[in-house]
Amino acid sequence: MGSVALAGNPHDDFAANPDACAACHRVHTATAGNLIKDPSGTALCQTCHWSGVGADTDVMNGKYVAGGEPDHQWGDPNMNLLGGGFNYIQNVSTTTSKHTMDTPLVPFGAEPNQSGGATVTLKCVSCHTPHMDKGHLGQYRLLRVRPNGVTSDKIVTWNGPWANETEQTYQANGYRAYTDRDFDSNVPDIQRYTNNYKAGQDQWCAACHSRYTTRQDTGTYDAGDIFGNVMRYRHNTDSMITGVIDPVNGLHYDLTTDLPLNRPSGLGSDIDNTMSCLTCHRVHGTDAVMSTQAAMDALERGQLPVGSTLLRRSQRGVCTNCHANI
Amino acid sequence: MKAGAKYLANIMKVEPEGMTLRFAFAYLALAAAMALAMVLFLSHPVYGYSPHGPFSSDTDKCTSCHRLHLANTEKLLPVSSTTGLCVSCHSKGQGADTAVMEGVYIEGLGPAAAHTWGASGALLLGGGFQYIDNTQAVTGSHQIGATGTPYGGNGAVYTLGCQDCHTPHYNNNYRLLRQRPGGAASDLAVAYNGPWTDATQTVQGGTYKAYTIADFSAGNLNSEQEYTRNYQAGLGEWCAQCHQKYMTRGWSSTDVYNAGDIYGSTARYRHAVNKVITGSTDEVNGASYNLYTDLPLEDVTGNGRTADDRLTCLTCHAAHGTAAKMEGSSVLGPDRGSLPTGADGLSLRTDGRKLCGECHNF
Repeated sequence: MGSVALAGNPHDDFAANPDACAACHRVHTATAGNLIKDPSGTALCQTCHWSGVGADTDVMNGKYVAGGEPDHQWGDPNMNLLGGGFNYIQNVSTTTSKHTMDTPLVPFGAEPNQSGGATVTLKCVSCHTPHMDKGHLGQYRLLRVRPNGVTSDKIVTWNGPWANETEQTYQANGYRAYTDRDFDSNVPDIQRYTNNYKAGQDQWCAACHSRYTTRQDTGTYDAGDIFGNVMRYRHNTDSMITGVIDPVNGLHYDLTTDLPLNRPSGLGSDIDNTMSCLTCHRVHGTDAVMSTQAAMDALERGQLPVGSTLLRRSQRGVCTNCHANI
Repeated sequence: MKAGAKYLANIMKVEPEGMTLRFAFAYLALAAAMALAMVLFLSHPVYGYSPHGPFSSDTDKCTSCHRLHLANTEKLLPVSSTTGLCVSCHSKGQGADTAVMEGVYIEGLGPAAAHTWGASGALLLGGGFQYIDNTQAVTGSHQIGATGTPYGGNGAVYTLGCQDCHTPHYNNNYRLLRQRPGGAASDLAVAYNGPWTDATQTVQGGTYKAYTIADFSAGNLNSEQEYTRNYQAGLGEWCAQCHQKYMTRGWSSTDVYNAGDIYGSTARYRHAVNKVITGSTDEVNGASYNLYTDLPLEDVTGNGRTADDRLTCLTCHAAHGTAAKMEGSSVLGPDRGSLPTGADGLSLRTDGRKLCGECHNF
């Protein structure tokens, strides 16, 4: 695997970096469609985003490496990536679950049922576009606007982008856009991460995990567990956690959490913050540990995996971080 | 039958709907469903610790009862019946020391620290829903899954499930009793002489066990301190959230009602509750009482059996069910009104009306 060290960002600002095209493309000797020089899209991404060879965000080792690109201060050096890593967390802890790449799989919660959804062979480019979509400059983390073949735009807004490395710091409290701390051992200041997300995460994730944005299905389905073809209920997403009455079970909630929330108003941590998929789950991988009950009995978990299911905290620490008084 | 199918079949049958307490067949249907439950739940995984909390911030226990994305109910439970979920542990040999269906304590399945809170193989203090001591069929119980109006109630109809009385999540009440049962508008504290964190509960004295009793119905009424230590205050008010009339003595013009018996709409009188039985004067009949009993009382000051102990609902009744036998005149006749059929043991702690004589010694 060859590495590509770039002075500029290959994903944007091509006018200032006219040589960036060659980082990924070969006009006459390409080995893949879109004139990609490497036959594997994933490997091409990894040439920069692995081991600090060309990008600050080492997504394989789950670590921020300051020095690879101009926006060095958007993460704390050597800290965990907010999305986790595919192989390791902070270059040390082996991941216990991840979005598995290059393997045909049916996403959990996919239509038409848990086991019958469309098979997806996940690659980096399944979620991210290498080029910034000029029509959607605010799209968070270069996420595809139409992932998994959806027919309408899935806009994911965030409290950026920032034009330079100092601008993001005005968001206060040492916030960094790319890194976090270990939620297990050091649940951080809530403002650090809530600053990042704004809106649209859940609907974006639902492009694959289509059932997970609704509380209840209109019909029954077999999730592969021992309960068979029955009505299924789910935890809410995209909803406030403070001062709300649950529309399904009627309970009144006034919760607080240190986990990341969406911040729709962009005005700081407030009661309008909403929980999203990323409140509980990392995107790339996690080293959270599940034991005994948290691992779930095989008869009951259905086709859910054995393991940590990308949760940010070990066991069910993500549950108690909101529901502390139970 | 596959283990999973067995499990499902069980939990789907624990809460039959549309049943009325006054229908005799309710007993048969319920007994049949529970009997099936006992057999089928044997396939359920055994968890060796309490899922009720209090929880640490990194607990793994949420998944013992909840599924975040594949649940069967709006409270994110994996089964359609809350009662079925409870019974999946609280029936014999499944995952809890307290086998409430069989009415027996089985040491070694629940939290390790609580293993000595009951005498292994002994009757549960609250009785059982299906059996007592795993052998005697109950003659009266709070009928789980049945729909009806509580005796002495205000007419509200309930379909009783475990969760109507108990919260699965930790609180400070005795036996995790709900703080607001029956739609109570404010929290109801039920104090007890605990909680105990380990086997040191024995410092409460004697051979006292928090979960088990001797068989009252067999006449073992000779160890009063064992049970009085358990209760402290609030039980009467708590029960009265469904059985509203039973907290008052009645006999006032505002308490005239038709109890469904042959006497029609008339003032009704009731036995005292929350009442000191030693050195007290009855506010209704003016009689002076200096009574003694081996039945459980509320130990209000937490100082063991003393003169300030009070009679409560659980002095006479077990909360879940008993095998008390009703014979002779203790079998209620046509004048029973809305009370259950004559052979129903009313969850009384002793056969017949022996427990009346236990205090009144007539």
